[in-house]
Amino acid sequence: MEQQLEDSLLIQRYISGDERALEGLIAKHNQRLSSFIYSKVGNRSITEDIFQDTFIKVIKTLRRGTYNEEGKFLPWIMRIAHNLIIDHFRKSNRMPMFQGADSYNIFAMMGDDKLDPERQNIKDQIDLDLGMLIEELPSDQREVLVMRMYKDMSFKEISENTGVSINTALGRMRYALINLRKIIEENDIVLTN
Amino acid sequence: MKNMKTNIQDTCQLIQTRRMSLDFLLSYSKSLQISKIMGRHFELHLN
Repeated sequence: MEQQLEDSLLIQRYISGDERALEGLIAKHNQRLSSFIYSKVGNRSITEDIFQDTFIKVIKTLRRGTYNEEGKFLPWIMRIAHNLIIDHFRKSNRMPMFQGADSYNIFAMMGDDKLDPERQNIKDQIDLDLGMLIEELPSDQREVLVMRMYKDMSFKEISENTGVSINTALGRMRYALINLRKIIEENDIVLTN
Repeated sequence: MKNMKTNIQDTCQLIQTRRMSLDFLLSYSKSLQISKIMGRHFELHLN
């Protein structure tokens, strides 16, 4: 409670223009955040980069006046860092780096399409999360999205089943996707595989 | 399992970010100007 109070005080001071308050915030959470990032990426330079990117996001959010975590500063910055760590691994997967070695083994770079148990778990978790997000949508949009994405129905079939025009079904699908993105962004949710 | 534990413990260290990063963030913060015009945020760096 005391820590949360102190955080919110520092945040208020920083928003009011006191740059030293930012130094205080960084110093206070430096070790915890750095160690958390390092425990995931295992590399000092990458840890530094992610730490900086985390606080750049913090600075921008505070300065924009859009921070509304109501005293939960540490979980918030940990979540930002967590998302950045995922982005980092995503980029690394997209652009694999190969270490120079005397023996070049082509089989080391080949994989099968079947998901390993860990990736399958992640995929299952994403499906579950997505299912919960879809539940948040207005019923008319949810209905169209489920028919299209899960039942693989055409918009003509959707229109016949729901009794609305094809254009209306298309519009509902569009707003369903817009609203899903909005929910994901507003809640800093990361869906990744 | 033993290997997994060892791997995790290798990176479970208490570390702090370098002074250089702190200085960068503080100067970034000082140079950043954000203005809101017609509901949109515009960023300006005075570096």
